[in-house]
Amino acid sequence: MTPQAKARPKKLILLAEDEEHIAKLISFKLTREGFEVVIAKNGQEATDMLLLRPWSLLILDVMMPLKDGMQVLKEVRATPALKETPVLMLTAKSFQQDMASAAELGATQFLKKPFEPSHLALTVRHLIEGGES
Amino acid sequence: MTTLASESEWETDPELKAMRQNFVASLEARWQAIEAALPELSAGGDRFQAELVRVAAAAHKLAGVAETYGFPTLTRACGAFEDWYGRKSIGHDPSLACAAAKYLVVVLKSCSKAGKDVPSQAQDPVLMALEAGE
Repeated sequence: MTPQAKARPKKLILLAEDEEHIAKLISFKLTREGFEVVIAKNGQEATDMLLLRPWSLLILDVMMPLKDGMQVLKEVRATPALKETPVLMLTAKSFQQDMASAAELGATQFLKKPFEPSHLALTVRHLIEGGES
Repeated sequence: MTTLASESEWETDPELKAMRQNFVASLEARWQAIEAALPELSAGGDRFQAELVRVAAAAHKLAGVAETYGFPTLTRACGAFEDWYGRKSIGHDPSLACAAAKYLVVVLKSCSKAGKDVPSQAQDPVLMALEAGE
């Protein structure tokens, strides 16, 4: 990595996931990939953090306590500063149904749990860096 | 297997190893919580539905995380429970609910005790019943 690359600020990811073990593992993997990851333990925490930092990506679990991922997504897209921020939804068994609902609300992409490590990293890289020249 | 790390990484990377140990340590509380629901599930009384929803939610969460940590048997068992539960909104058979929850406890206990994934018998009757949609 060049000194310039090392000096570049890390891309920020807000991960909203209430399952502690999967949150830690995703954070660990993406941190090793060079991103800075902040974890919100539920949908309300995620909402409270939305305007605190300049997020490059929001990763939202669909099923969370207090406020679910769909509600957070709705609020994200209703916030002018976040209208274009990429949002990756983590879905589980009801994948097709979740996907259709989330797509209507403006989710950028979806990942079904459990997922491949390389797939997660590639998906995140594509969402954050894919559009950059 | 859709795990977030290869088997050798889990063993050789100290941070991953610690995370997996924490996950294994969490299995005891998970099976104890499901086991605590068994009397109400078996009785099929006023608290049956609330306890069934609680167990289904626990199964859902575990299904999403277990295989990621290298426990596909747990994901399969929890996924089968979820699928069975999701076929109806109400009117689940208490005896099958109890058998299904007991099966989850057995699988969780095995993996917890072994500290690793313990494959189910291919012809496990409860698993087959759940997956067949009975």
